Amino acid sequence: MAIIDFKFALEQVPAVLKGVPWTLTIAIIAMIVGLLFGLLIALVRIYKVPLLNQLSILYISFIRGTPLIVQLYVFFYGVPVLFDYLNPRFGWELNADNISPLIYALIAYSINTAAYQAEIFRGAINATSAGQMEAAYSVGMTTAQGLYRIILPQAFLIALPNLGNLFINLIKATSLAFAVKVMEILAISRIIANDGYRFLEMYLVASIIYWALCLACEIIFAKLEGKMSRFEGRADLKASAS
Amino acid sequence: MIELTNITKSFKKNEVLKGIDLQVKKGEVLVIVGPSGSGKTTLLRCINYLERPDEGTISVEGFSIEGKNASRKDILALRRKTAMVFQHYNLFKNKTVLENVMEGLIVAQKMKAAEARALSVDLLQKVGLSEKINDYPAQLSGGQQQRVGIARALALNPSVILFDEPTSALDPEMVGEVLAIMKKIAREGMTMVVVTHEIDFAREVADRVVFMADGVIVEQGTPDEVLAHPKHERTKQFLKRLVREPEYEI
Amino acid sequence: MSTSLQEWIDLFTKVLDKLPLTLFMMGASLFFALILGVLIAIIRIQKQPILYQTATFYLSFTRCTPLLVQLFLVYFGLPQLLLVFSIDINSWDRLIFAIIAFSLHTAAYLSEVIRSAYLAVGEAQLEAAYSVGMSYPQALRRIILPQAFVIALPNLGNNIIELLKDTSLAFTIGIIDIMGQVRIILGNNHGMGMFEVYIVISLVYWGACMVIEAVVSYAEKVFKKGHVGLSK
Repeated sequence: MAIIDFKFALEQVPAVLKGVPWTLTIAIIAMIVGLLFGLLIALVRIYKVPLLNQLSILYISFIRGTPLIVQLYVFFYGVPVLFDYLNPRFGWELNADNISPLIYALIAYSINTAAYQAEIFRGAINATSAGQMEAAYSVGMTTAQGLYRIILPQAFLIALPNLGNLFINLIKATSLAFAVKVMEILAISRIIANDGYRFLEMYLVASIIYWALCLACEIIFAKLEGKMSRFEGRADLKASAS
Repeated sequence: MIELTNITKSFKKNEVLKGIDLQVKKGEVLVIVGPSGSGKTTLLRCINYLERPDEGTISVEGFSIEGKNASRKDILALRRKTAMVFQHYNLFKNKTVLENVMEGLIVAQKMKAAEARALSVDLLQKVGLSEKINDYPAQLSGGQQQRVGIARALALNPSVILFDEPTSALDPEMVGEVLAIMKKIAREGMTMVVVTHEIDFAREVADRVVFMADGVIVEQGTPDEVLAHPKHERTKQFLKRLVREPEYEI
Repeated sequence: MSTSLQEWIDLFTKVLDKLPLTLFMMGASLFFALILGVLIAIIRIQKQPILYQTATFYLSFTRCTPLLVQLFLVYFGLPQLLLVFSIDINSWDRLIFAIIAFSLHTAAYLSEVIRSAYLAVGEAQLEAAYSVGMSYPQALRRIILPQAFVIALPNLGNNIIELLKDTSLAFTIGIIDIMGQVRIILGNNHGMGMFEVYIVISLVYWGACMVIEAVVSYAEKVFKKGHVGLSK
């Protein structure tokens, strides 16, 4: 048996590539949903909205303190339990079996990533200088206007490198989607590998596909940063001035 | 036109303002001087409610609000009658020079973009920055940034402009250009309240000088009365030290 | 959902039974990852040709592929690869493969933590050490490393927590740790479902993470004494 059967590996690439759309769908949609909720949670925490702030702290601590795979299982097995609890009380007929694996994955990954994004945005908003909001007030803006027009655009730029890392982590994390029965890159590779006893080949194929995806994301985020940071100018050098 | 009554403010247990009463007439240039920690900046920031006073009343052009329990609407209305020039300029970093000046006009005063633009271009010409209108703040020197800050305040056509140590973050060679513009707008009749360490500016431009120390107004009067012939020991000490070793707050 | 308190307690006990194994995996992996991480950091700081490129390649691979793939590559792929050189490691304990995979993975992240902490101390400190007549090794031991350690602590803590959570994947290669025990627990259950079991498991991980966090922040406090300037 050759070390690596390249021919076999190459032949399987198209089959494994079928997992890429699943990976990207989960990562992109979870990222966008997480962005909205993350931002809201960050604001809740910054403005210390009573009750919601404490709930947010608890939620973020739980998400960061438990493995994603456990969260996926809790969610996957928790939804039917929840439905069993709700159905008799409200006369509903919700059936967990009717929910597609993709929906499970989208919701679970969104819940997970929102917690991390909340922390990123909280840090980024706090990193904008206090004077910016004061200046917004001084020209007669409301808090909402100041946030939307002045603070958030600046915070988003500060957050961008971390958001990029988070997105790459999200892509890698989709390899756990098998827990909610989504057939993405790794799940497909695993089945082919088990069938043909070609483990090394299949997992190398999977690695290279993930690797390529991540490098592509890195490039895209670097471009995005370059484009958005036009107003930074010499700001780095003069950061101490404000 | 501006009337502050019994303004008090504490940070934790430290009482910074101990019941200040102050009036400013229309078109008057009022300069507040005093040692650091005297409460002068806090007082200035109470006028547009960037600092919430614990007690007292703020009244600008007949619109008056209670310091302690002002509603959000009242605060916004008060801020829309005033403008501020900050020590560290606080230009919007994500906006160009022109956008910085237009921002308040479009967002807070709902002015049409074309009109706001024309007005802003005029004002930037007045502060000598016509060529920089499409630059971002980070590309400007400190003096240039502060001139944009003044244009931004002027654009709002406020009842009063509050200057919070506008030159103390500047390199010495840039102080002159900023003071020159402040003199210009003072002569045009703008009501100004200026917290500064520039005694020469106070002497030359101020209609009235207020000396503050330890959260109270120690004395006030014409520049000649307060700066040349101070009555109180505290004022004399402050001025003597200022002559010997100029105080630069960073 | 009508489970009694006693059943919950039983469940907790069963899960906690396997916590030592999880902690052992974490501890062993951390130990090897630190050694490897320091080596890689040195290679990257000194920019030695070939070694530097190799290290960079390794970092890119480790950081751009999922841990689960790495775990499978080590567990399934490594024996297949070594068999070609007539080395048979198929008989090794699964635990060894898991620790190899976790160590290789974590080392990549730790090396970056170590490298950035070293660079954060700055050239000026090194120059100051030279100016009082220290050699490089002396400067390293007495000036640079103590400061770098304090800088690295928060990130080190985060990586230890990540590592703990990473070990939750060991069940995929058949290791019976907290996660791997689920089926066994359910085999002799008393009406407890998957959901309850995973809730308990998540609470155990959560608790362990909080303990690690507390220890790290305590260590930060202890080591920051005299480093007031750095903390500001």
